[in-house]
Amino acid sequence: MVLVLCIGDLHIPHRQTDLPSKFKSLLVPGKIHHILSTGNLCTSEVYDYLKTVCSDLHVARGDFDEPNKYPDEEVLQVGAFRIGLCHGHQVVPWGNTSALALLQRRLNVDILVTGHTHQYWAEKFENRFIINPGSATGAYSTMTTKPVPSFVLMDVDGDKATVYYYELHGEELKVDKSEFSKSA
Amino acid sequence: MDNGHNRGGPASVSDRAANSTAVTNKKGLRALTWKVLLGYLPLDTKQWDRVLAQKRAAYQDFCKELIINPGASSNGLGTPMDDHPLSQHTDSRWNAYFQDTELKEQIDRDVMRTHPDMHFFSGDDTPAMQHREEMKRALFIFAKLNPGLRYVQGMNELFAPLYYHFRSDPLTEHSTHAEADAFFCFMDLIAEFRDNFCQQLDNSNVGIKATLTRLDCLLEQADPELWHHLQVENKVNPQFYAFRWITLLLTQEFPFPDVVRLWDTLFSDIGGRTGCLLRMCIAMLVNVRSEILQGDFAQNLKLLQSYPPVDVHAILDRAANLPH
Amino acid sequence: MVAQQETVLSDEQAKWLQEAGTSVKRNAFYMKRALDDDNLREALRYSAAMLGELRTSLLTPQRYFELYMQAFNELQHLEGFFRDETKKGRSYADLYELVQHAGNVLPRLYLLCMVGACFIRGGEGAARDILKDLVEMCKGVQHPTRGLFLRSYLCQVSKGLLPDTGSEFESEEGGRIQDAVDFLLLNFTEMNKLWVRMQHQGAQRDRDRREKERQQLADLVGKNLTYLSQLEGLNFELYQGQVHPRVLEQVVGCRDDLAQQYLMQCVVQVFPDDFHLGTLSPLLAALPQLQPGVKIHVILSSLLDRLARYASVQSTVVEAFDEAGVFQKLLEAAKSVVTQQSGMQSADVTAMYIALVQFTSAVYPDRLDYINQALTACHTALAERSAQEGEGVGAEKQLVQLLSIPLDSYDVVTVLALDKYPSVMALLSPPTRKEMAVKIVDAILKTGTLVDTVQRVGMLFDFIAPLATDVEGVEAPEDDEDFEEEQNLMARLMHQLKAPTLDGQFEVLKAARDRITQGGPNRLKHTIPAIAFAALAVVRGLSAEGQQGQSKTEPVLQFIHSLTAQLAEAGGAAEMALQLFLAAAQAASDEAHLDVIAYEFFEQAFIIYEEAIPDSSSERTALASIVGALQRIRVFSPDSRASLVHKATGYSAKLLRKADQCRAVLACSHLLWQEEEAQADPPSANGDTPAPAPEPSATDDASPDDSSPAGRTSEAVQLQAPVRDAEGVMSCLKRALKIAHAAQQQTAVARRANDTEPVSLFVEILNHYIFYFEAGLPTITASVLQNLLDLVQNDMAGDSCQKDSALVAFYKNTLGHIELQRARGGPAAERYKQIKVPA
Repeated sequence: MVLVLCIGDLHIPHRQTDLPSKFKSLLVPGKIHHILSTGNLCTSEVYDYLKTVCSDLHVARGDFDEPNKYPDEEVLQVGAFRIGLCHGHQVVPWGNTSALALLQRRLNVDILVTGHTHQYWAEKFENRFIINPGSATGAYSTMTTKPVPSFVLMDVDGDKATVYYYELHGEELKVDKSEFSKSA
Repeated sequence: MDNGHNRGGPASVSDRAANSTAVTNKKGLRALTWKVLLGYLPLDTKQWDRVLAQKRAAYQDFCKELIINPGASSNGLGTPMDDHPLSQHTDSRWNAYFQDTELKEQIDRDVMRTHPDMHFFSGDDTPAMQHREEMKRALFIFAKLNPGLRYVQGMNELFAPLYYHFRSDPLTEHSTHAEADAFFCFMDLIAEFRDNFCQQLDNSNVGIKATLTRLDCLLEQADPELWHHLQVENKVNPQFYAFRWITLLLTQEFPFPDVVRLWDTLFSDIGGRTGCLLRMCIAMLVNVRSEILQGDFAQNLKLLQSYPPVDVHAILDRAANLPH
Repeated sequence: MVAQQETVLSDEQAKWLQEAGTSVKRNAFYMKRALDDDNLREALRYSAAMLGELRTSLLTPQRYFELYMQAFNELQHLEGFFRDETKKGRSYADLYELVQHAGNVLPRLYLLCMVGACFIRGGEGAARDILKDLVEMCKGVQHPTRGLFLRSYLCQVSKGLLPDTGSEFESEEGGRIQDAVDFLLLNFTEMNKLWVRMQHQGAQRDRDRREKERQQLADLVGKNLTYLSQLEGLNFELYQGQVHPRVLEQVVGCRDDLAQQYLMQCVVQVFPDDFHLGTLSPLLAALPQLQPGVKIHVILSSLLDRLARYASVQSTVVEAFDEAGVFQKLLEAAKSVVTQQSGMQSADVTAMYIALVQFTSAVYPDRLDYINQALTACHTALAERSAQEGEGVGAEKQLVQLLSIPLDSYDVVTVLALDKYPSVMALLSPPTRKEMAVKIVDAILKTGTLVDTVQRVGMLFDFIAPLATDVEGVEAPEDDEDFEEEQNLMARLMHQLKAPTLDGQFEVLKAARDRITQGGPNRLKHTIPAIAFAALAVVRGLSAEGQQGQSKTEPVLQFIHSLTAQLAEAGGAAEMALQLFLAAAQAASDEAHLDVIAYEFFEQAFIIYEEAIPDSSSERTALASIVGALQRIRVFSPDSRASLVHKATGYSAKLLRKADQCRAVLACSHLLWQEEEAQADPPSANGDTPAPAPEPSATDDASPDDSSPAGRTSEAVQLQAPVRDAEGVMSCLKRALKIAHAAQQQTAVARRANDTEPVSLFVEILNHYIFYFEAGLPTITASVLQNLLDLVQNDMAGDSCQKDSALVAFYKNTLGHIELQRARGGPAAERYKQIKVPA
């Protein structure tokens, strides 16, 4: 069992004051093995905060991150999965499944974690999986009119990944789950 | 040599020597004897198969019940449908899982340090890794089943000799179930000595302090001069050296094969094992009495905290001759 | 040296004590033997000799106390004997007479006190007369230490024997409560005099030590007050009429720092709350008269603590406070202390007001005006002091504490109404002022408080001025981590500025902008993006309300435009400014449907791209963002769009590396092919109300450089249908192919046979062909795709490509995709069936 937190597009302090306190109370140290961040942490304070949640932190550069601080793309192996990480503003048209699938073929990954749209979204596309954890702060987005705070937690167990999707509606936490397994 | 797992390596001498003792482990005789002596197997041999099958199945059930695999789709009973890895609800399987993590880490640390000189326990290959996994699991199950005691540092050392011999049983039908068998034998062994482990009882008349006092009295009776020198002149309190001797049943004082030999005797003393253990301790002291009588506080403390190499049979003989 | 001296001293003391103690023991022994022998005369002789040891002047009070206790214990034997004596018929009067014969005055008085007590207890004599007699006679000992202990003895033995109301010793003859009060007050007064006089004993240089010793004796004096407070008969009238004035008279009149400090606190602590409330005026009036060395704030805060606790227990107390005008009295007292105690330290002045503000916020949670009055008074006091001394106020720690109380007790927005708050803050040294400002912002963020009016925004910025602008005395802000953290805090704060209506919100943001822009370029970099995004949210809100028309949204977009332009000018924030222009362009298109403004935002983004993007990596990111944003825009007329697309494509082809050029051009191809479902709202179903006629007032709010971009007025337009320009796409794809070929030639020329990048570009182009093939682009037929596939297949066969596992995987995945699409069925699958996929 390996827990992978996918979180990004926080846009603090440009678009939001802080990560919702409800999320902060959930994200306690000692549970999560890897963090894959879709970027737009914007400040080193947010980076440092995520480091306290889990020290194995991977960040892809968002369009509002400092230049040259994070790579545009990163690929990791977790369990049986190759997981790719890319913020997504580089993939035109933005948020387009076919364009993201193209990136996924290039990175040769089973799961692509991408952000930018501030809208949670997960889709199985030709034996591969694309996940967008949305914006953890529910930050303003040019693409999504009413973003809500969300993130994703993947429980990777060998060739099976259970995807937990956390979403905050006001004070109410909603958790959904779906499964994806790597079939031949 | 019928144990396939200990070819080569610096540990093999130790491993081999482990078998050259009173009860030979040929054909798994020691394993069997211990199981009987510890009460795991009844005297009626006709019942053995049934008992073993029953206990081993019970152990499987414990594992299923107590080892939480929070990600696995649960059997549905008592698990909230909306459980998730970050849940902080009391009925969350994930929450329970993370609460067990601390215990697992503690056991893990100790098991990793068990007999670093024996390939069986410390090797890098698959069998050794599997041995460690099985030990960890058994100790974890024990801790979960005994919430009053949980896991106490050193239990790994008591579990190791049992597991080693059961795992080395030439009969695969037994060696494959070494984990379960060792688990139950360990339960029986701890049941007899549990008060020494229980911190709440430390100062009671059954806890470790009481046992140490008993040892002190026995020494005074057996060898007043030695006692006087050690306790009155040196002020070397039994707590300083015999705490470990007693709680860990001498596992840390002698090489593995000698420990096993001592345990043969210890286990055979059904009903009076604490007395037997204390006589062994007295024998150990008397065995080095001339050194002790010449030593001061520091020297004697050092001597007794790292007991010198000795023929274990001499200890056993001495112990046997002490008044019962 | 000092330590050594003290050791010598304490050795000597020990010796003296031991000697005296031995003598006490010896005499006590003989005394007890005489008692056993029933020889009263001898017993008295030895007891007098024993008590004679207390005449020593050698011992320090501490040691003297030890000796006293020893003698005190031994004396109990004698007392017991006396009691037995009277049972045998001897009268106390006789005994009283008998002990008078002791030679020395001190032993005689001890014995008299003891017998006197027995006298009263036995009911033989009138308490009033005996007590009066004793308390008067004790005046015979004027040595401070000896006198104090003697009177302490008197106090001790007479406890419970006073003619208190309801006591068995109260009677016409034995006296009334008045006599008990008189006795204790007289003893108190005498003791205090002795105690005060102690300081004049001995050399001046030992003064510190002596004061320390004197401190140790404080409780002996205070015990009188404790006993007074414990009298059953002490009602409020008696307290107000006699006890309070006489005690205060003594305390104020003694003019001794130590005594005043201790006794005032004693008064506050031992007497009941309601007594204090009733005597508040005289009590407070005494404060300014105390010695300059007295820590008045300590006394005042004990008193206020008591009153606050009193008020918290009984709800009616607050009403009583109001009737008595407690707050005003306290405030006046504080002011008068400040006026009369000109030497009072600023820290102590502040501490006094801390006590007052704490009291106020505890007792009057809704009286912010009181807090303001207290702050005003404190400010006046401190400002005067610092003006006189010509230096800073100091007392930083206390001031921070003072300013923190309202933050902890009230909603932060409520605190903003304290108009005196910023001036008190201004008394702090600049660095501390900034710390305080950080504290205020933290409080707002922590509680999630919203600042909802222009007026409050103004006040907020007054409060946190040290964060918003440069402050004289603080080093120019360096662009370091601390500064960045502070400004991030400010940026986060901008999201707490929220008015209930969108119009109000815009006003609030403008007010914030006015203050923020005074902060200089280094601050702007951090704060402008936050305000700009808050303004974008206003645009979205207006659009959601169906007000996307020009009159409402345009001023907000202008506002963003001018802010972003300022950010671009500030330098060092080109990427951020570019991103803001792009975000604003999308809002102008999606939300406001204002094509001219959207166009202007793109123009600005391009200008920054041309002029200010520092390196090729940033160029790549910036261009990707421009293309991504432009791809989504639906508001442009074909001409406007074509011109921007042309620019984007042109810049793409000018990137530094061929590979970057190729990928950028591929991205540009999407500018000519918009998906049908890209826009969730149907283009003109609703909301696209015709723009109202331009209102001159709409732009009034904007600053001069906010004038309409490009000098044109804009009107809300309808969204255009998605662009589907197959020719354009094809020309981009062909351009990409051309660049890839050029890259291939470059590597060949440079003999970099192992460089597989050109081939991977081809694979990428192939994937784009596939993208458009599936999208149904008419120009990409099966045979066009097949040709490219064959070409790539050919290239891929090369050794170096086969060794490049990433490239092999990419290609394999591409072919796999075609296979899967073919297997899926449907019209695309039919078309795919014409493709021959290499094995």
